[in-house]
Amino acid sequence: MTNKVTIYIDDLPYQVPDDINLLQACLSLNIDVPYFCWHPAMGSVGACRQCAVMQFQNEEDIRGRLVMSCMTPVTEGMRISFKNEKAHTFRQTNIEAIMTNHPHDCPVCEEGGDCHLQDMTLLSGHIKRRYPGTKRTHNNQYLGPFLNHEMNRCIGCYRCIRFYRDYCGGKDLNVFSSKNNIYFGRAESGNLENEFSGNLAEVCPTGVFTDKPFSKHYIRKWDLQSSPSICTHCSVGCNIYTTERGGIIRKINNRFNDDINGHFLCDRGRFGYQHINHENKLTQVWSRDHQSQKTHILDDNQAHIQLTQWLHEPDAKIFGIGSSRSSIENNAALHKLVGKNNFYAGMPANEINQLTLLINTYESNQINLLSLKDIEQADTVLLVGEDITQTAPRVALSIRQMTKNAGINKAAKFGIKPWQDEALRNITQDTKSPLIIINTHDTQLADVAKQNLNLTPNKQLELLLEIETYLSDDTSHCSELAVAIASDLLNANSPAVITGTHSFDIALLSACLRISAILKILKPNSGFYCASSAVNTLGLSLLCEPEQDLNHLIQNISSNPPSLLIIMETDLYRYFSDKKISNYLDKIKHIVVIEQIITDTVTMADLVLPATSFSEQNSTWINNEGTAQHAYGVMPPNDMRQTPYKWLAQHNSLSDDHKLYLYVQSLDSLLQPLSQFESINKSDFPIARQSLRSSARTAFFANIDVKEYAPKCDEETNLTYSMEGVSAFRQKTLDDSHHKITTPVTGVWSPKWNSNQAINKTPLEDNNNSNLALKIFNTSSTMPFEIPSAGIEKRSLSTITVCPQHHIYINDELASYSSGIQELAPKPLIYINKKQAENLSILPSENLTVISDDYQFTLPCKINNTIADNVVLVPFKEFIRLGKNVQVSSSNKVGEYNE
Amino acid sequence: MNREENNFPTHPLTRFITDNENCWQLNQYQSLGGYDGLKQALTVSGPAVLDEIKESNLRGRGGAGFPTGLKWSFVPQGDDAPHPKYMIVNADEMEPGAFKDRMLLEKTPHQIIEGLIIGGYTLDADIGYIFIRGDYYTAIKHIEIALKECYDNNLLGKNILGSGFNFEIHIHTSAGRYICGEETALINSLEGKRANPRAKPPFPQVAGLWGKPTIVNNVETYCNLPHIINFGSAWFKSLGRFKDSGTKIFGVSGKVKMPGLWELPMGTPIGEIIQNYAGGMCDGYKLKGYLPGGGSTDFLLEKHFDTPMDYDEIGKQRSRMGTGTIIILDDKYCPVAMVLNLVKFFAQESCGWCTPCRDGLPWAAVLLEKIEQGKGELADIQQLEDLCKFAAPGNTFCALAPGAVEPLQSALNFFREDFEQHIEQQSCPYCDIKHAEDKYDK
Repeated sequence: MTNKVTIYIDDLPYQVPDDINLLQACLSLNIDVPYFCWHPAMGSVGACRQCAVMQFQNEEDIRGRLVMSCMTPVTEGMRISFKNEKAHTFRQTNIEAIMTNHPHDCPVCEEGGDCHLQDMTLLSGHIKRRYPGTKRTHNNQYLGPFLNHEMNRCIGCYRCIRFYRDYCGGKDLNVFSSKNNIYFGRAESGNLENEFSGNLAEVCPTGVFTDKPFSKHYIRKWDLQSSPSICTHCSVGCNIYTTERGGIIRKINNRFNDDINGHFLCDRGRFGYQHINHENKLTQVWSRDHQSQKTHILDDNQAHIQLTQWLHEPDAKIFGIGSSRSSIENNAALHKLVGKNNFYAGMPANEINQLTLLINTYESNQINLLSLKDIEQADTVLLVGEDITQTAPRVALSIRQMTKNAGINKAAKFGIKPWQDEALRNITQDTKSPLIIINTHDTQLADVAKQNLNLTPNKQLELLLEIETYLSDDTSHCSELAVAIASDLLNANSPAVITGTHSFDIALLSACLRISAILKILKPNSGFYCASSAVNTLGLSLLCEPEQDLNHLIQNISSNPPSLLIIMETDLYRYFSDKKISNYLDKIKHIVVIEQIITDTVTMADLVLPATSFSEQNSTWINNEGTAQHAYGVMPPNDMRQTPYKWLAQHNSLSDDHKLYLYVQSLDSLLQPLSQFESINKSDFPIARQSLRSSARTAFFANIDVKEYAPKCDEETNLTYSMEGVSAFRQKTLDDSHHKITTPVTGVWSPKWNSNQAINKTPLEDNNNSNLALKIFNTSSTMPFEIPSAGIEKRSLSTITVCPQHHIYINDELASYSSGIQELAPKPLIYINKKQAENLSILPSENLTVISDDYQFTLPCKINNTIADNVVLVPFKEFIRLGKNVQVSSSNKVGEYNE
Repeated sequence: MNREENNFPTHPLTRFITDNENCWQLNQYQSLGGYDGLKQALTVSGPAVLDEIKESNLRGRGGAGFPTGLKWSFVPQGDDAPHPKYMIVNADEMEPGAFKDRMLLEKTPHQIIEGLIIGGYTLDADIGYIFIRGDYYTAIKHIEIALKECYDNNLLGKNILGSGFNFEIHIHTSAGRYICGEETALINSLEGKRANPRAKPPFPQVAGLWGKPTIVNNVETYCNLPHIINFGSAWFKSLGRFKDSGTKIFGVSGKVKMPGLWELPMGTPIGEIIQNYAGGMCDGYKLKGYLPGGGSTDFLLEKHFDTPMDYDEIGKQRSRMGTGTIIILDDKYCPVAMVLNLVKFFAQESCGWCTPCRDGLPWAAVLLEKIEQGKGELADIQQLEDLCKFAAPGNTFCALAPGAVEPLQSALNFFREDFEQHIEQQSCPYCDIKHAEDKYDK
């Protein structure tokens, strides 16, 4: 709860919260104070001097004093003037000075039309360039596949390095030289290493850093069609805007969501969309003739006839495999078609068991579920068994911000507010809130962690059990380490336990849940967060019965073979050895695959139904903390593609949305509220996906014809594929307006503010897209559940443990189709520490073979001395295919891939 | 502190500079009364010393003239104060025209060290730094030897002179950037960061080096401390001829008969320094104007000769005492060229953090160059005046740019005809005369 104070701007009184700076106050009141270096997430430093306003001591003071509004706290009774002539002249001269070296190359600059510098130039009233000298120029650098670099356009606002270094902890971007020759770049050309580098395109107010993949299919902002969506490349559920033109997805922009992603996305989410434009995407219905083994294209009718035939064969036994990267609606439709006993989750048993444990615990209300915003405001984090920078990257960025809280509290004692970024960092120095990481090796958060405890999974579990014991009874005898960690958690006001399912170790998960349950009793503000594998893993798990997973499906092939297997958006070859899957699929009479892009599973299908990507369908996704979020498609489906639930609608009698959502609700009581998503599509106002052009004419079809084609119709929602409707990029109106309209916002644009900074024009608390998101775990209802204790006795005592190693550019299936992501994906290697190499009598880059039932592989090894002893890290894609009885051998024979 | 007033010095700062080439060493310094001030200070409490310094009205000698006692009173004291506390000597003398600290650093390093230890004792500080410009290599050598002499003689380290007070001093040589003379930029530089200034609040006294209480003062300021303690604040106040207390090292450079440095009472009239001590203008040259306090102060003219060198009095004349080192502009040297030289220097030394300095100063330099090359227009003069207003105090992040435009704005005021002549003639009239003379001399 913040207090309000009264301030006078140009002699009019306004009520504003007392914890913001004057610049924020003015912007929220629709007063267009220009600025560059301030950023809502990064606070104020007072470098650019653009936000100057005149401050007066009292009503008699007519001279006043120029102050920088971003550096000025709001105080009761303060008097300032925005319109004051001296202040106006100063702002004009300031932006003129800022641009003395600017090339003014808007016509050829990608930022044009989406440019904060353009907006501020118009706002400050500067129109005439008087500087008669030559402009300084710079050489540009190659910074990797995601960002362009054009340093001549730099205005020296320092935002890029403040974001990259201070906010994200990146090390390889910095400012060089001095005076008006300052240069922002790397020590030498090369890929930017930080996982959040793509945000520089949005953080940079000019065209120095721009979106490189976007440049390859560039179009101006006003020619884009845009709609609000959810990123589908990990389980966090960041909010995005998808933009499209001509059937091609052009760019992903951040969509502000205070609880989840805030202002920033990770690079996987931002640049992983190219599977939608990929040449291998499926756009036609394919059918394979069993006799001739030839494939041919079917039309819509033929496809449905074929499907009906197989569905209604005598003695038909129909199984369906649901997908953790497909929406709730799609999974529900398949579930209805095959029935609950025949619906299998497209996940291995290990994963579904972990998810079931999580859901039961969540429903029992024994722990608090945290959002990413909650994590940022925690004051101690215990991160267990998860290299979260690789598996759910945006969470890592929030954890990093958490570590700054001790410093913020320290600075508060000096009267320094959290938004006074520069002063804050000078006082904070090395003070950090504790982050304790228990893992097999150092992660990217190692530099801000109080402790990096690199242990084998068995030792990790031992430590967690000790912590649990100490938390329950602080007189018990525990190791110093366990006591220290437990004490850190107990000294905190809001401690958080964060983990994930990616170590595939349910005992560790159990231990974390039990610790969180104890903490909730001792510390009501404590919380828990678990990262799962895909965008809808939690959602899919709600639809599954026990033992309805891929392992059981394949095991039971002899005892329970289906006649028709419908595989939706799952590539079985990711989870098991090729031989195993091919053997399994060979035994099935009819295989139908509903998929977006050609995968190995698709090549085994008898009938392929092309599915839409997330950008061509309306969908609901449930993220890690149980927030169900609705996403809108941005373009009508290409060619023959259809949303999976539409393919199945003819066959499962869920012929319209209403019936579909009724069925969804029936699947689990937790899904009751989802009916809300049905009704938001029926509101009174059409909403435009395109920006308004005064001529009402567009260039959308200029590549085809001169005349304006009729826009396609969006049957399911009230969003239009045109500029007709509530202005596409409209922000909500002021609080006291009579005409407040609550609509999904399709982009960021505000009168006079064309760039994404327009987001700052409304109070942030108004910017909740609450009609697009709701929490499914209701704290008022409680289902009793005992979290099983993880017994250390039942574990294998082998000397070497093989563990999975994840990577941001490897883990996600669909993101890996993007060329930039492929470029940055590391080569598959096995990592061990030096001692382990000696034990195995192996030199770096020599081969190691990992053998298991059903699958083995051989890869060269590399040394990483942060890895715990007796741990061998193997690429996640190989690890997941391993069966039981895993062994590691360093015979220098070349092993065989079990292909 | 009741002492006999008989043999109190009139020139406390320079009395240690004798003909002996080893005058800077410990034994010479002590034989002339060095470290008596420290010994006196150690007999009373830190707060008592602080009171004496406040009473003396000592003002900082680095250019800003802020009352030293008041500055020090903001440092948190007592058992709960954060530690370590830092005392820093700003020996990064790079103001154009200033060379007074160099003399003190080379010839009286112990005087500075004694002042620094006294300062540390007063504020219960733990560590001292001497941040010295890397180019002053003779001074650095002398200071390093002086520090060793101190450690060897229980003047530094643990339990100084048996008092129980611990203090250590480190010397840090800078890479030579003007902005490091700004106290918060100096602190950033010491921390190993980029030498950008910091926003205030928080003030360094409360959170400075490594977030701890820090005092940064000029070399000459520290030099006064031993004498204030030794001879008392009443004596110190009596030395001044006007309102400000003590003596100051004044300097004059330019076409005068005897350029150099003199220790004179505060409040000595400007004209006296230039005519009596510097011997007046060289034969054949007339005084056109002067910068009374170094390259970032406003011009004054002969008509201001009666003004005492007193911080407030110079301020009333719309200039600043600054470092007290006077730069003379004679009548044969082009004022436009002089101002251009200064503006180019400041533009080069800009750290690049804030817009008016980083982008405004080079713009002014381009315009001045244009005028000097005979390509100027009348609008350029207006533009230069606008740029001076643009870089005014309060508009920028630190005081570099406001100082940089002080010579420019006063030159446009006092020497406007010179600027206009450049523009009307489309050439520099001073260069024309010089070319003519050179031709004549051949």
